Amino acid sequence: MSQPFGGPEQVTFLIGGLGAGKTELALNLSVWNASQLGPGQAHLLDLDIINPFFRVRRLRADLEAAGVVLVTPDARVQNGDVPALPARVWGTFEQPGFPIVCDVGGGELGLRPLARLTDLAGKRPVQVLCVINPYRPGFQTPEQMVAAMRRYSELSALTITHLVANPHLAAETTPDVFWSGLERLRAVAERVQVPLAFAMMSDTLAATFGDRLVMSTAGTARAGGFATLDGMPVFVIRRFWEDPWHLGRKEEDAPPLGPTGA
Amino acid sequence: MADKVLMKGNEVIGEAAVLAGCRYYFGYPITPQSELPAYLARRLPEVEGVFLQAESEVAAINMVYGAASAGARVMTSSSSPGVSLKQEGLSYIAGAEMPCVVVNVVRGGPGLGNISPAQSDYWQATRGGGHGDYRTLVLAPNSVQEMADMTIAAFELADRFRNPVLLLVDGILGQMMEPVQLPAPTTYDINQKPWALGNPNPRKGGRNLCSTIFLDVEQLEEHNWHLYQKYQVVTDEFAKGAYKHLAVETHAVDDAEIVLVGYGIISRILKTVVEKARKRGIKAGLVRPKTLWPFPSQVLADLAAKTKQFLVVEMSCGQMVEDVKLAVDGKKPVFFFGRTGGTVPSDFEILNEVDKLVRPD
Repeated sequence: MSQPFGGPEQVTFLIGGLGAGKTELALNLSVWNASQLGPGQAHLLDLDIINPFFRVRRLRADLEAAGVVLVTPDARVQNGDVPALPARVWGTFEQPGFPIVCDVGGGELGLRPLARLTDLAGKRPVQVLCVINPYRPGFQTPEQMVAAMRRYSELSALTITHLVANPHLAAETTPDVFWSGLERLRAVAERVQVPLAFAMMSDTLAATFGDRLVMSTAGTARAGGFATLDGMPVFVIRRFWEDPWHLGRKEEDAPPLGPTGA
Repeated sequence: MADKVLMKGNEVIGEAAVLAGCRYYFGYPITPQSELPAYLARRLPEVEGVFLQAESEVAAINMVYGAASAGARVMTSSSSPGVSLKQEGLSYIAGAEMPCVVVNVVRGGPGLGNISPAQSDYWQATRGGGHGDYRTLVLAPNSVQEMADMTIAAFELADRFRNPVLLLVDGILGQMMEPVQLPAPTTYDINQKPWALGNPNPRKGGRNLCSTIFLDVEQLEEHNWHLYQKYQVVTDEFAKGAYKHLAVETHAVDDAEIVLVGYGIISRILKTVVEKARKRGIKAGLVRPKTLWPFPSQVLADLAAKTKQFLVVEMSCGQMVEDVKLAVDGKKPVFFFGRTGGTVPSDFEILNEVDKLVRPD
């Protein structure tokens, strides 16, 4: 795998369909960046104009405690469904010196705002990760996946540089579900000649692999971060919405964010 | 397992409607249910169906009235303020006894409220909502899988009783994603709807008429008592257990000293509360009404003889609690805990309430 993260100037756009796992990845990637670079460096841009509930702005306090700088719409419209982008987005791109992760929301309509940002982002090294969960409807066949990738590129005016595999069925994800979903995505990556950067995996599933999973930094699978599984690159994530009715709210027994061992 | 897909609640209602043979959808977008029309806008043309974004909710519900009168399986959906707009049409549809499915993905009210999840449309859903003496059946799923299964059931019940059926879900259920096994497709036979426009009616000069106008007072009274009798049949069939799988779920109630009552997403949280309470040595149980009208009163009435008290939890200031009190009929105290305005109560705060009731000192 090329190392697609962590360069100080790196802009990472996450694109993909509704419910592909873009926001989960954006959250975890930002927290991981912050754990590597220290507080005040990793920026997370909330460009979600679609999803009403499961968006990063609800986690502001947790993210800031983990050292992430969150750029999100004005507090007055935070809980609205107006398609407003935060004004600070433009300023954030102009300032040098830190990595930026851009989360977009809610499927194809949500990709449109990205087309406005490509000129600004073009001043920095850009990577465009397309997140696919092969268990989502409309992503079952290679043909469907390839067609979707083409649509996303057109809508966002961005060229996909990497695929990210996110094969899961929420709480019903077993190793079998993971491997068979991953297999289908490998075939797609081969077909479109876009490198598969890594596979996402929940900390719960990662823990079942024991010693086969080798974390890239000190710590356990539960703490999250980059790792290899039988030599394959994986990114272990915490699922913020495991019980969706908590809306990502931190509970009294929830672990703190970020790799504790790093 | 291999066949399962990961779907949003809003999406699965759309897919299940298609599987139920619904080929007509009329609606207007509103958060947090817009993924449902968005899904059907793409899906219905694939099965030669009609998706139409109407100019308003009022227009949409009247298009539903038209398609239902023609005998088609038809659906509309909205969220709270939009469902308020549909109430006039819903009253017409119930009055004319036309089967249809109406989905309300409930958000915070009153008025414009906000886009966050709520359960404050219980009264509107279960008391009719529009004008006149009428009832609608109301189903309240608590998982994405049940949203699929209950959507199919809603179409079957609508045809069976020639009545609108409401699917009442909160915003969280609409938005959240869970693995789901899609149900098998079902079909319906338009020839089994002799009342539908287009089917011959030998008695009425060869033509059917779908209408709610009864200028003659005796005729209207007769019609209203006819509707009343039909609602009695619905209530009786549910009470006799004809729809057991749809009516109510109980959990750990046999030895419960406190029975928690909640529907929809709250029932998922209450299940955790029951487990945590039992770990603390509190014998808690759960009653989850799956159908809100007809309300599963008998289960609560039976438990009133065994348990010490009830705690009703809702994402409202207290609406279903009235039905629980009617069912319990003063035999045991019925308490209420609610969060509103878009706040979902956590298992911790509910557990605290349970603690206070069980151990008042």
